[in-house]
Amino acid sequence: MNHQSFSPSNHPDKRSIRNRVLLMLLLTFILSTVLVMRLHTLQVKDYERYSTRSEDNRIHSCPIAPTRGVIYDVNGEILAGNVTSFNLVVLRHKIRNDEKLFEEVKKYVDLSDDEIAHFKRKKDYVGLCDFVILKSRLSDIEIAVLSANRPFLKGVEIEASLIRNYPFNEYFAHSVGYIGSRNDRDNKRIDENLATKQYIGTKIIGKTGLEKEYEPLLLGAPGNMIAEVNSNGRIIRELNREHPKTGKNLHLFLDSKVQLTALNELENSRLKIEKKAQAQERARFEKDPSKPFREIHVPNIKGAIVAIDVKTGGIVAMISNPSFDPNPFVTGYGFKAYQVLSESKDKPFLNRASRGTYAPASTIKPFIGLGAVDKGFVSWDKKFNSTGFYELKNGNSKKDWKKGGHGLIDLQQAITESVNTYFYDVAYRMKLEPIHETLANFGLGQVTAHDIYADLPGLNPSRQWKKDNRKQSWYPGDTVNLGIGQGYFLVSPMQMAIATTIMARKGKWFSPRLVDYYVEADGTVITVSPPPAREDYVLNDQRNWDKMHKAMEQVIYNSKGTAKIINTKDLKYRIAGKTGTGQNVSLSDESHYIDTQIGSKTRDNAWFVSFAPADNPRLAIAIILENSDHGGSVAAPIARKMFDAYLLNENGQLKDFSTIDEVEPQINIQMENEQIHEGVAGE
Amino acid sequence: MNNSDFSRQTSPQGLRKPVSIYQKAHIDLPLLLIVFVLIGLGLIALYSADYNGLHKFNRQLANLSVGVVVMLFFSRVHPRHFQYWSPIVYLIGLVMLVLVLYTPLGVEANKATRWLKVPIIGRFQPSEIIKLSLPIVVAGYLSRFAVPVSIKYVAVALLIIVIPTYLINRQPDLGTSLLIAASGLVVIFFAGLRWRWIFLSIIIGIFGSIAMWHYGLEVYQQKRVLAVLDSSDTLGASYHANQAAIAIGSGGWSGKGFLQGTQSRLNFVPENHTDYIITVIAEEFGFVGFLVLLIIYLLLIIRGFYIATQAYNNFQRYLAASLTFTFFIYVFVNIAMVSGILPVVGVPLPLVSYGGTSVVTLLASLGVLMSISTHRHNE
Repeated sequence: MNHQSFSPSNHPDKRSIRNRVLLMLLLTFILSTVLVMRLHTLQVKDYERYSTRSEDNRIHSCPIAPTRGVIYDVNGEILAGNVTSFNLVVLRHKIRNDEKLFEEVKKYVDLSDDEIAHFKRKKDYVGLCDFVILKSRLSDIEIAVLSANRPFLKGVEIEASLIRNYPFNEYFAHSVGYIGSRNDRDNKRIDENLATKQYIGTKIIGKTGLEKEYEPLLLGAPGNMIAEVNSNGRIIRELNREHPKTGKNLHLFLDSKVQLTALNELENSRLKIEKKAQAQERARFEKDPSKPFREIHVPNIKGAIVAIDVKTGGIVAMISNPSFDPNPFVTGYGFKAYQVLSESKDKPFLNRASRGTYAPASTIKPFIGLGAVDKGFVSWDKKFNSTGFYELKNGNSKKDWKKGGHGLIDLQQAITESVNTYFYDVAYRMKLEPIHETLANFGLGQVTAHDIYADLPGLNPSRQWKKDNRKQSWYPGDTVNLGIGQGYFLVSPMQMAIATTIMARKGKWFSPRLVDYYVEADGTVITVSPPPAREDYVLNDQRNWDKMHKAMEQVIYNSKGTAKIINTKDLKYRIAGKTGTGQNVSLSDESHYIDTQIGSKTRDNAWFVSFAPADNPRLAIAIILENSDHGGSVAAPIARKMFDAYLLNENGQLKDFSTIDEVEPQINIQMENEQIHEGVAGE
Repeated sequence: MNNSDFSRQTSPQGLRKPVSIYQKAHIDLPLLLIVFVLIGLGLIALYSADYNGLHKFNRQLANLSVGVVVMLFFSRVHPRHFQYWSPIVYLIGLVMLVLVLYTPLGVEANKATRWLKVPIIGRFQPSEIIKLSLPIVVAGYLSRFAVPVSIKYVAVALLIIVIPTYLINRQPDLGTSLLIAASGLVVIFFAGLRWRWIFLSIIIGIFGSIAMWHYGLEVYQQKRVLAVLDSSDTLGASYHANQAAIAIGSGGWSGKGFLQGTQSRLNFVPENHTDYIITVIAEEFGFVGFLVLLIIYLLLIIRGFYIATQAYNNFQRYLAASLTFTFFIYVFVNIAMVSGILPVVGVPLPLVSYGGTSVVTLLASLGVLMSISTHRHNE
């Protein structure tokens, strides 16, 4: 053996190793001290900072979107509600390859290009707390298929959420409007209004109609969930929850019964026109078989109907036809489907009731006539000889619609028979300013409605207006044209309905509006009662109102009345109204389907304004139908059906409105029911 | 040999010091107790880090069982056998390292080729064989010469160190290669390298560092070095480093409590069952927990150095001191790296981090230490 056999205790190397071990032990302690200092810095000195950052890491505050307020019609029917939708959602952090995901999902459910496009657009805006919706409104079958195959679909889940629903589809699209995904413009506006906080967690916003006008009320307030999340952003557990505040429920004056009646009548009229056109085509074919027989299809009647409760000032019906289904906007309209609608010549997105502006035509006569007689330009009994021509100062002459004229007539007859020459003369005598002033008193040329989305003021022309816009001075001929509601006039059906309501109310102004009241979370009913839009129109002689009402009644009841087509035999009340036939300028450049079939007359717009009961008005209606027959023949019967629907009870008798007004608003909503039940239980 | 060993056991021992029962069983009781406490602490931390499922916890129990058996087995083997067999094991290790790098037997994972795939045996890292055998080979070689060792023998020892270090660095595995180099260099130090050489290398090291500082490091790297004791500059650090610092820092004095570490439980700290397990201890048991762990490590180091000073011969002294200090280097590098002092190199926290290979290798080296301790009377 070599040196290993030395006794270990007295080996000379032992001291050397001991020194070096001590040196290394010293180094060990020095290095340990470095570690202790470092950990002390992190854990003791900077504890506060790291503790905060640790909490920031794990705690996430997830906003909870509030449930949007429901919109009810006057009968408690839901016009805009919320329904549960089952959506296929994607957990974003679990998906690496989008295309592969789409492929996988397509094995089980259809996935349209639109849905994929929506998904791609939305996925970058999603926070830690959210899923991205890949397909919404799953059908029961789709849910079953997806649930059964869930093991094969990684990273996707089925989630239930409340989405906006419009049960009447296209029927109330123009009044109620619709919601849609917020875009950059919406977000900017929200920021400017300092409402960003309100919108945390909400991805949608009211885009048009009441959904937009009453957005702050409908929205509610977001809730909040404090959750612990892991490093993937997955929620591990909920720590605290603050419930969102449901938006306020709106109760409208809109009456779905009246509105559906009108829509139904519109459809009947369409069928009638179609039948007539088909009959004509058949007759033509029998006479001349050389040209092939053509199937005639009349797609729809374009037009607008607005009905206002004369007593309350509430808008009972607001129709713009054709319309569109607002439901797809909630989850995103498909690109193609949207294109078809937006490029359609029928312009279904145009709200004809508030944004469609037309020449008022003869419907302006009672209003101008009233101003003229009250200001003394004409009198009720002074006769005027209608020859069928009206000679202008410059030698030109204007024809009456009736060949040979109406003979010797007074103001009432001029209204009843809609005598153009009479009103040329009236306008000529009145001059521009009194006409302008009179019509302004009826709200023409300005926006008077309280809560109609983006309504147009129309045009009540003035000298200044022509100078500013046409760079021309006002000619007497311009004034003469105003007498029969042509020329520079532009009115919307909404304005005509409001003007007719003012006529029925004998000049007493109000605030035209859709919303009657809304309900606070605690059940408090808050009535929407804005001040009247204008000062009342007080006549020099208030009796002129009644006289004009009588004249308008004669339009329906006189044998020469332009709206005598209404079957008045079984009427439980009397109607006062006025027809009008305006030239449709907008269509002059379009070839139109009925054009060749029914004749050039149908290129005109048919007006009918009316109110009933004539002696104690309750409902005022303005109807315009584009390219339709004379106002009395199609529009007036629609008005009559609407009056019936609104004024009569189940037994076909006139409702006693005096008692109804005193009844508390009927509320039949689940949420509010709870409070009502409580009250009952207390008794 | 077996025969002679056998005969020694039966030979009379009257002239020698009384031998304790533990010594007879080849168990160094203080070392064994310290190891068990460390293993216990490691299991507590792993239990928390692996709370969902405890899959790794259960596997670590198996790893530890194997490791303890290996340790107790090694403690019974006489140190001279390590000295005798280590060059062969070392050479086999070198061959394997070459096979890993230059033949298809090497398995690539995470952009590094560290594993050798052998039929029947399976996958393992040849660097672990070198890790164990290198200090034994160097100690064995240098113990043949009188103290202080002449520089030419030191040169040979350096060659023994440099070859595997280079090969492992090529894998690349910088952390392991540096640790292996360190374990060899420590032996040279203990083997009585002349002080003048030591001072010379220190001076070269200082000038080298200064040169490196000015010409080798980018500005951001300089900043990082300067920011070692200032935690405010963690913003520029990587996500991992940041989350680890948050975990440690948020533990505070006494920690968030067992199983209450949010950083660890919610997976904010990556690899918190292996290299980053100190974050679990620091977060859940705070500064106090860290100090307790460090003290236990220091007790182990002190015991190891004590064994070195009491060892039978130079080989055993060099080896014991080297194994002990290498063990500490692991501890220091790991904690320094996780707490942001050193750059991140993959070094586990000895006996606490999850991992079969490292646990078994480290317990084996402690087994060698125990063997040195219990064979100090050369029985």
